[in-house]
This record gives sequence, structure tokens and C-alpha cells, in this order.
Amino acid sequence: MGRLADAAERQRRQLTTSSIAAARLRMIIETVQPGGAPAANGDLAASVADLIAGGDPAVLWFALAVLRAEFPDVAAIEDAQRLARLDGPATVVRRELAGLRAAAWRGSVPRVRVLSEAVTVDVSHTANVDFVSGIQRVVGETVRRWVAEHDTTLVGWADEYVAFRALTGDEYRRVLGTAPDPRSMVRACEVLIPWRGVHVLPELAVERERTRHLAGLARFANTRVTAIGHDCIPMTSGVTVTPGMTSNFSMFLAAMRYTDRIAVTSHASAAEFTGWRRMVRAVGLRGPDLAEVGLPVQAAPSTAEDLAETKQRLCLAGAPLVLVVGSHEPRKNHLAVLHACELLWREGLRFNIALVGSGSWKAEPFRAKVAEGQAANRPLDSITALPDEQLWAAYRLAHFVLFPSLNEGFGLPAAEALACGTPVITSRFGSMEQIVAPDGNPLGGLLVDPRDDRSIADAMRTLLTDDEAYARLREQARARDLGSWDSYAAAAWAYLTLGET
Amino acid sequence: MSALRTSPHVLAVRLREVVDAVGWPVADDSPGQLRPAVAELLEKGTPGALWLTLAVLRGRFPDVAQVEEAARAIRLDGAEALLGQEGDALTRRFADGDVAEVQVLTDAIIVDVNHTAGTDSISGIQRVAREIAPRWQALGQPEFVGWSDGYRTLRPLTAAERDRMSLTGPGPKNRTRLVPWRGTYISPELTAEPPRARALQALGRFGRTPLNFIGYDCIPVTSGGTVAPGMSSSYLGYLAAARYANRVSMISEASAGELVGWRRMARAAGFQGPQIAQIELPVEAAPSPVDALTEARRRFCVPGAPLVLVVGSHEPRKNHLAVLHAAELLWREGRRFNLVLVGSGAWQVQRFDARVDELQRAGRQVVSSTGLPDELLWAAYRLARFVVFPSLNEGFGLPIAEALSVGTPVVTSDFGSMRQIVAPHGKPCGGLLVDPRDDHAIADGMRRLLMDEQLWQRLRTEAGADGRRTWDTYAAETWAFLTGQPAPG
Repeated sequence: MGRLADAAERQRRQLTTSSIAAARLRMIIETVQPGGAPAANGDLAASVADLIAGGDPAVLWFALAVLRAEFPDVAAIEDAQRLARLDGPATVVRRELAGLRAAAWRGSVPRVRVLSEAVTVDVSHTANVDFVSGIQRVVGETVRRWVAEHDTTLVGWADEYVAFRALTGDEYRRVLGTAPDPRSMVRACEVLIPWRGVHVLPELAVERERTRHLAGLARFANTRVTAIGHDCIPMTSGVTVTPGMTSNFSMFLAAMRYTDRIAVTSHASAAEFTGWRRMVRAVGLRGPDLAEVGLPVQAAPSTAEDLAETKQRLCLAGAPLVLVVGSHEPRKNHLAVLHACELLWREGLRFNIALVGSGSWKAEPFRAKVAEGQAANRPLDSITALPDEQLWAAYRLAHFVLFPSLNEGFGLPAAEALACGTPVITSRFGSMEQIVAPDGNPLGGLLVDPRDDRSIADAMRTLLTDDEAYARLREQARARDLGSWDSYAAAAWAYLTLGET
Repeated sequence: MSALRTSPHVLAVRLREVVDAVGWPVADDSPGQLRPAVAELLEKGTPGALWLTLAVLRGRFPDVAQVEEAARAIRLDGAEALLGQEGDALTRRFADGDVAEVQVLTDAIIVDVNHTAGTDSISGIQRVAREIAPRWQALGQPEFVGWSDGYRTLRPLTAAERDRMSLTGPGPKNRTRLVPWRGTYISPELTAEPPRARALQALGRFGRTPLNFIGYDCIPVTSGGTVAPGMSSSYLGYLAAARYANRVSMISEASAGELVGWRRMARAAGFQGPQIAQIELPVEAAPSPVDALTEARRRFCVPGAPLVLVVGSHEPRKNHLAVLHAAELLWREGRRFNLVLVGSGAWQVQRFDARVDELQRAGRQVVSSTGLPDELLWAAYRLARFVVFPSLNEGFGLPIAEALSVGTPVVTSDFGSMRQIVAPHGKPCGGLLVDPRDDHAIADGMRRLLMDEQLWQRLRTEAGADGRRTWDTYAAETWAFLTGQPAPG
């Protein structure tokens, strides 16, 4: 009896297994050669081997991706190419089918779907974190508009970053703030394999497995990979980011060498990526096209309630509020900020300072200094979590925003302050200088050397004591137009999916 | 004697070192005079004086954060308070038996060969350091230095280290800790050990001694994933120090191009970055005695099968899997040759080892040889029909230059420094250029050199005829540039 049941089960599994294999082979044939002649003797495997024998690496990439339900990496493609040349493409197909059958026998094969000529947008990271950094804000604002106006498939990565999959409802909501359109939703357990599409990476991808599979896709598949380039901070400020980050970031850049286009977010990041591409060209690779699509900043409105609540939380009567926005890590230069404040307090100037941002890396010296200042009764607040509405209210309530960072791809807090009409003090180089002085003359802010504490203190003193200068900067800040997300999203879409600048 | 060893005296000696180096006026040596004088120096002086004072008092080069912290402390509480703390700390260390002398080296040219002087192994970088050290000594009598334990300060080389670097003269006897003041710092090494790079960042940013380097490549940046993860992170620490450097001499046009790209990135982050020169490495063939040739022939040559030589550590960047594949294609065509791969395992060697093993079991003539003495390597270069070196990224590509220097043709990559070596004037001379990412191209190049006797003869003549640069020229050019003379060319 048991033996009979076993035999039935085995037969059932065999049927499932061979039907899965046949379906995958058919998927490859119908995609690569739609309407082509039916396979000789119905031998699907031989037909796929014939397709591979054509020698197009894109076909090989696609065939392996479908059969494995996993994007092949560079080594896997090279390995299969060599095997095909030595033992023939049929051997490659046979090997892949053996792997597939073994997996199917164990019952562990995902469903595979081909995305033909689609635009996919990779929001894997943004969809899985609750905090909102500069990059996540860009992704949210941009992707929301792309989804509304274009036929776009948002994707994350399946399992250990081996292939694309659709977003879950929660992920979708986290990125767009709205519930997904049920018609556009496919089950998130399906593995998606792109064919002749455009893949857009609007966020930073530094997970090692993700960059490994992305590199294979960019280098071999016939899907164009494009990206928004935010910055190269780990390469230029090696010591101000975590050690693991630098190594993973170099993997990210290695994948980016094979992309088609990168839209860089500022003049400074354009210079960084251009420098990087020059390095890449020295090793015999072309590297992507680059275009500067400058980020916009639009202030969100603040209600009277937001303002009142934030005022109560952050402001002291009779003391102007100095606002600092940014995660607590060495690059943001908060120790210099706290030191400049202490110098000014000792001079007898009255103001209170609020530092808004979460601790990210090497935040201990910062926390110690904050504790020290508070113990000495300095009007000093560190706020690790502030809702967006209160952040915008804080920008409006602040006397000025202080942002002397050592390196930024864009420098969002400086731009957001100006968008609210609040003057800023920021660094005299790179994107921060570009935001304050787009045409060379500072408008709405003062530029300082962030590596010189006294330069920071001097600028703060000016904004705290020179009413005339302050009024002028405030007026200039109010007059600034920093672009809109609508026009940014449109320009980024045109460049990344169509190559139009 | 014991009176001299009291801690106030140690503090006075060290404070004296500082004021003497800076040339700061003090009436006499009593601690009562010295401390206020140094305090005044710190309050009125430059970050350089602060760096020097911290380095001398602590017997350890400060890092960037420590200098910034001390500068802030001085501004808030005055330099007297800082000196008080530093004096107390010094007293404690002194009581614990830390009595090494600290000496300020003023206006000296110092050459840091810490790593090379301490090892017998010879990588590309160590070969450069060994060749130029005695030549630089003859040119300018610089002070050759290493680092004290834990990379606390610079120190003179030991006699054994000086021997290893072929330096003449006895050198200083004691194990003094050296702190540079003005002068110039030069290193022909990749100074990427994290504490060493951290110390150099602060020296470059705050110290008064300009940093100068021989630079080799930017592989961790341009070919991410082809080096061990720890390497890319420590390499970026080295680059962080290079942002403050004065001059960097790159070993090839291609690697100079890489560094210029990096400097452009650094400038976007507000750094000027160093002046960059390209001074191409030389290659001088070592002679091969008859014994060496005989031994190499015994080891590597098979009658009737020409020797195809591959030189380079076993790591993915060297592209050995592609070479093995190209060889297998040729063997299957019925070509006869003996493939010898010389080099030690470096990183991710499993696939390479497995493939060599597989081919050997299939009866292919392939040998992987590790730890080959220099003499036998040069003999192998001479015995080889040609050298295959289709690397994916090289700062220089030493094996190609070495092969050409003994008149052996090469097959190598069609870009960067490798192309530069084979085709310095645009037209390839002595070798074939291939796309290393295309196995067929590699196989084609190898097939032509195996089959086309006329071509091979021509390349052999071209390879042997080329006038190569010498170590003397290279040492003179780098010395001139790194000590501040205008860049050549």
C-alpha cells in the first residue's frame, strides 16, 4: 500500500518536474524567437541549445536566468560560455535542466515570469526601510510620478538578491504612500526575468549579492540598466564611512561600469562620476553616459498646528533657533558644530540649537559632547526622530540652518532650508556651494570652510548679530526657486529610459 | 643619572625639542619657562605646531580627530590646561617604563620603506623599493625610515633592514622615535595599513612635512570585487591620505590616468589633491646563468612542445580562467605546447586550482608553479616561446615588460598600461594585443604565435631590439619629481 502511494507520488512529481522544465524551455523559445518554427520533434531542449549556439551573450543570460530562476552573475556566464564552446550548447542546457529537475523534485522552484520590453524600477531598499534619508526622499517623489504617468513595474529582489520580484503590498505602500493598483500587482513570489527592457536603479545598491547579480544583468542581458547617481562619498572620503560600506560601494561601482546611463544629481556628483568614469576608461571599459539632472527641492506646507507643536518642542523664548539636520556620523561634522556653538555661548550670544538626525556610525563622540553640553546647561537638543511635518515646521521656525558637511552628493538640508526661505550656513565646495551659489554668488546663505571651526563660528555670529545681513539673506532665500519634483521626474525619466537630455 | 630620569626632566626635554624645531623663543630650559612658551606657541601657532607638539609629547603621531579635539580644547580652555594633561600622561607613561627618546627630524628628506625593509618577499612594489633605495641614497642621502611598533612614529631602520635595502653606512644606532618637522616625506610603498594611513592623513593635513608617493594603481576603485574586501577599505584609507599629498609619481600613463580621475573626484569634495606625474617603471633583465637555464629547462620544458609562460598571482583579476580555456581550445585543435603558470595563490584561487587539476587529469600539459626563485623565473622568460598576460587591470604589467626585456614575445591586453608597454608609440612591437574579456581573442593570439613562424620571428626581433628604460633613469626621475623639481616631460 505504502509502496503504491510512493510510486504514485513519484509519478506525480515526475510529471510536475518535466512539465516545469518544459514550460521554462518554452518560455525561452517563445521570448527569444516569437512565432519561430516549432521545435524539431518537439525537442525543446535542442531548440534552446540552438538559440544559445547563436553566441549572443544576452540569449545565454536570459536562458540561464529562466532555467535557474536566478540572474546569472558574470562568472556564471563566462563559465557557461566556456562550457558551450568546449562541450557544445546542448551540454549547457542539459546541465541547467538537471539542476532545475533536482530543485523541482524537492518542490523548491518559484514561478518565473518574463517581463518583455518593460521598464522596471528597483526600489528594493527604499521599500524596506522606515526611515527617510535624502536618497529615499528622491526615490519616493520620483517613483510616485513615474508610476502615475508611465507604464512602470516596481521591483524588489527575491530571496538573497538573486532575481527581481514584484513588490508586496506593504512595500508598495512604503514607497508610494498609496495602496497598489490590484491590476498592476502580481504575486511577489514570482521571479521576474526582464527581456529587452530598461531597468532603472534610482537608489543606492550596496548589498553584495545585489551588486553581483546586477553586474551580470548590466553586462550581458539585453535590458539596458540605468541609474540615478547620488554620490561617490565612500571613494572620496574613505575615512568618513564604515569600512564595510567602502568595500560594498566598490562592488556597486563595479556594476555601474556596465550601465548605459547615469543621471547624476548635482554638479559636484557629476564631477565625481566623471572622475570615476575616467578611471574606468583607463582600464579599457567605456563606462556609462552621464548627464546632470539636478535635484529639485519643494517645501511641504506647514499647518498652524505643526508650527505650534514644533515651536513648543524646539524653541526657547527669546533665543533664536539654530537648526542642524543630518545623521550623526563624522562626515556631517557635528563635532565642529558643537564646538562653534560653545565658542559663541562663551562669548555671551543667546541662541538654542536643535540637532535633528539619527545616529548612524561612530556617533559616540557626538553623544558624549551633547551630554557634556547639556550637563553644562547649554540650550542644546539632540532629536533622533522628528516626523516630516515637524521637520518642515522646524525649517520655517529656525533662524538659520547650519550644515557644514564634509562631503555631500547633494546636501538636501541646505536646499530644504532655502526652499522654506530660511538662510543657511554650509560648506564652500561641491554640491553645497552649488545649492547656495548656483551662479557663483551666494544667495540666501553663507559659505564656510567646514574644516575650520572658527570659520563656522564666524558665520554663525554674523547671522546671530548682524540684523541687516540677516534680513538680506532671508529675502534672498525667499526668492529662490529650486525646481519642482514634476520637472525633475520628467527629466530623469526622459534621460534614463529614452536617453533624452 | 637617576635625577635625569625624573618626569619633569622628560617633559622639559620634549618641550625643548618642540621649541627648538619651531624656533620659538624661550629664555632658558627650566620647565617654568618652557611650558608657558609652548602654551603661547600652541595658542598663536599653526595646526602644524600643534601636530608636532602632540607627536613629541605623546611619542605617537596623532590622528585627525585627535588634532581637532586638541585644537578645540585649546580654544575653550587654553593651552596650559592641555599641556598639563599631556604632561601628566607623559609622567604616567614614564613611570610605566615607556622611556624611548623622541627626536625631531628637522628639514630632512625622509624615505619610508617600512614594509619592504621588514620582509624578504619580493612583490612588484617591493622590487621597486629595493631597486631605488640605494640609488636615492646616492642621489640625495635621505634618511630611510620605518615605523615603530603599532605605527606610533617613524624610526631609523635597523642594520638588518638597511642591509635588506642595500643601503651603505651604519645608520643611527638607537631606536629613537622620529618626528618630522618641515623637510619632505617620500614613500615608494602602498602605505595602506590602517594605522599607518591614519597617521599619514593627519601628518598630511596638519604637519609641515609634505607627503610624496610612488603610486601604483587604483584597482580597488576601478575593479571593485577583484580584490579582497578588506583591501578596498584599507586602500581608501591610503587614498584619504593621498588627498593631502603634495606629489604622486604613477608608474604608467594608464595608472596616472586613473589617479587623475580620482583627483577629479576628490576636488568635487573640496580637496586640491596632489600633483601627478607619470614616470614609467623600467625593467632590466637579470642574466641567466647556465645552471639556472638547465634547471628551468628540466622543470618546464617538454621536448617538441613549446613553452607558453603565464606569470602572475592566482586571483580573478589576472584572468587565468580565460587563459586556461583558450589553451584547452587550442589543445583540442591538436596544438602541442606546454603551459606553465608561475605565481602564488593570492585570493579566490579555488576555481583556478580546480581547473588546473581537471586539465591535468585530462592529460593536458599544464603546470602550476608557486614560489619560483627569481633566477628560475628569468630563465623561464628566456626559454618561453611567448608569455601570455591578458590581465583585466594592471598598474604596470611587469611580466610583459620583463618578457620583452629578454626578447620574448607577449600576448597581452589591448588597453591601459599593458598596451602602453607593448605599443609605446601606438604600433605594437614585440607582442600581440587582445581583448582579455574575449576568450577567442586570447586563443587567436596564442594560436598565431604557436603556428605563424614568420610572425613569431618578427616579434622576437622587435622584442629584443627595444631599448628599455633603466633603474638609474627611473630612480633619478622619481627622485627629482618627488623632491620638488618640475615633472619630467
